[in-house]
Amino acid sequence: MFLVLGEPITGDSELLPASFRNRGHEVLIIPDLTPKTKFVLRISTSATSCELHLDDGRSFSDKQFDGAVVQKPPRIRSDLPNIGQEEYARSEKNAALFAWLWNLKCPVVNRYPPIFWSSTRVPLPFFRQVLSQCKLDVADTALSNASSELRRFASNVGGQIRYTPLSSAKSYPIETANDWVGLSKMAELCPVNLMQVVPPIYTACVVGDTVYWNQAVPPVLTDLEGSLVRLAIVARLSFMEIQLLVAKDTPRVCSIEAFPSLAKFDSGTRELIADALLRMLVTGKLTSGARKPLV
Amino acid sequence: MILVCGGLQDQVTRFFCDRLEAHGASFRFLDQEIYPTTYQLRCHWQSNCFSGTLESKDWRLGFETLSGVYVRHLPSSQRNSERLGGAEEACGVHAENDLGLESIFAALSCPVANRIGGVVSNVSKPYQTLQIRGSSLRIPSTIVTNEALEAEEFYELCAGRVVRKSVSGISTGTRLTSRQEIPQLLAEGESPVQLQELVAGTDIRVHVIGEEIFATRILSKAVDYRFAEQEGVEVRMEATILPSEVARDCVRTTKRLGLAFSGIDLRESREGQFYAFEVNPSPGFSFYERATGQGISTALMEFLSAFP
Repeated sequence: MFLVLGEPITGDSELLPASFRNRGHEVLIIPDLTPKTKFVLRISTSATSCELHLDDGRSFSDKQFDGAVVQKPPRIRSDLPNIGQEEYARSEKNAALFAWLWNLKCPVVNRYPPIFWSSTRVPLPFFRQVLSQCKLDVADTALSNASSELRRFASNVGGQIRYTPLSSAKSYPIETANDWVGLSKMAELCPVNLMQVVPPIYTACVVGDTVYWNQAVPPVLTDLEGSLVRLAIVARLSFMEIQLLVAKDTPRVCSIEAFPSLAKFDSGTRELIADALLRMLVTGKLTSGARKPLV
Repeated sequence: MILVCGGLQDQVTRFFCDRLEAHGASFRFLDQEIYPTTYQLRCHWQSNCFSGTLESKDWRLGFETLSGVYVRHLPSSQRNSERLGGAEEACGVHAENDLGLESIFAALSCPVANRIGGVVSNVSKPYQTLQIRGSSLRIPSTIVTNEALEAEEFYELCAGRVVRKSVSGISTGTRLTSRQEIPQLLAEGESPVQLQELVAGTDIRVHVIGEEIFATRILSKAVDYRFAEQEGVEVRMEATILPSEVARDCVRTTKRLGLAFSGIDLRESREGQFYAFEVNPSPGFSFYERATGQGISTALMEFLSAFP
């Protein structure tokens, strides 16, 4: 029995479940812990155990799962000004869910460390130390609330820049005078994060020790595959997406997505990725849930 | 040079700044109540190298000169949000500001007490408990469930000696629970409860700073001594010494969670066993230092001054 947790990662919600079923595996899909999903986690000095009781009468202990895939889990919102009853309930439920994930005895892709629990995206600078360990360069970036400094950076990198908020997956090109006016206004509220972005952007999806690309890539990128696999190991993510660009003939990481959407991949490659995920779970050959935090 | 990041409305941050001043330590204070207004931040990550400066009206700081950082983020509600529209928008801007600062802290080689990666372990108490397991520290029997029958069975197994506490980092205190309360708590079945066997014994707060520890024994009849004063129950505190194995595991647990500085809640049972409840990544150490005179702030200052 394989467990698929959280909301689907792609527009094709059947991608992963279908891959499991096509190979004769049973799948239990749990998008969220609802009142219909009864949940029991027991912890003591000597033992831990967990059970799920579904409203259709089925019950599962954590030992019955052969593997689990975590898609997009619901988020813990710790940044709200006033915690209402609904948000409190959400936080309590998610806190239980994440502890449960860490207690599952089967292979889990991914057994996310706490840094991934509360924000929709972990900013690239948080990965810098692990990127450096893996000898991966990062796109040049400036963080400042001084307009003159932002202009100087844009000038230094030849004007190919995007405003890349740290708390969002979106980014915005800064090209026109109007863009600069908007950026200056934003900089009055918070330092803005600018990144040199030289198209094209290539997307790599790492599944265990295999790298899938969303398009044909130059040799300078395929040469990096070992480093990308190493990054997945060091970051303790057996399944991740990395966006790269080439600037001054050097490949540079410009984004990391710990919850891959596979949006940049065609349907054939998505199926290959789903199969690779399944193989990884069946063989248990994945980056182990290390206990040391990422940052 | 130490950078203190937080707000002076917060008693712990104010206490630490006062102690730094009293010691004549070199430090700069980044006031999150007003930040980034009146500050200029300039940071670059170019060719994989980080450099940057932070300027206030009175000083200019090169990040390469830092020996340590003490962070206690001010809650969004306590920051200046005059130009930020509604509370949701203000939260978004404050979050972006905090991520900017944390991005810098992630790039620094010096000690940071604490970086965000360690702090967030606190949002799931049972996750922390799982991280503590396997050490010499014991774990009280605990159940996290949204099923009333299971919770009631646990209550009976513990002979009614059960406390309730939040599962997440949103503190609601620790309270004795009656059997009658359980069905009410789980009436909606939406949110789970965490119940724990009540361990009879004495509370001990352990502050870990790098490799150094300060243990404080708390003498009180309250179930949760933090609320003892409100309940009119007396609290006394005194410095104490832990068995070396327990002390070592407090340091290990702190490191395992990615923290440089922690406040660990222990209870020594009547049989002399040490139970661990939780690890606070942003401990209110001034409360304990004021009561006992233990040199926690001095040790923290020295820890944050020693680099490189």
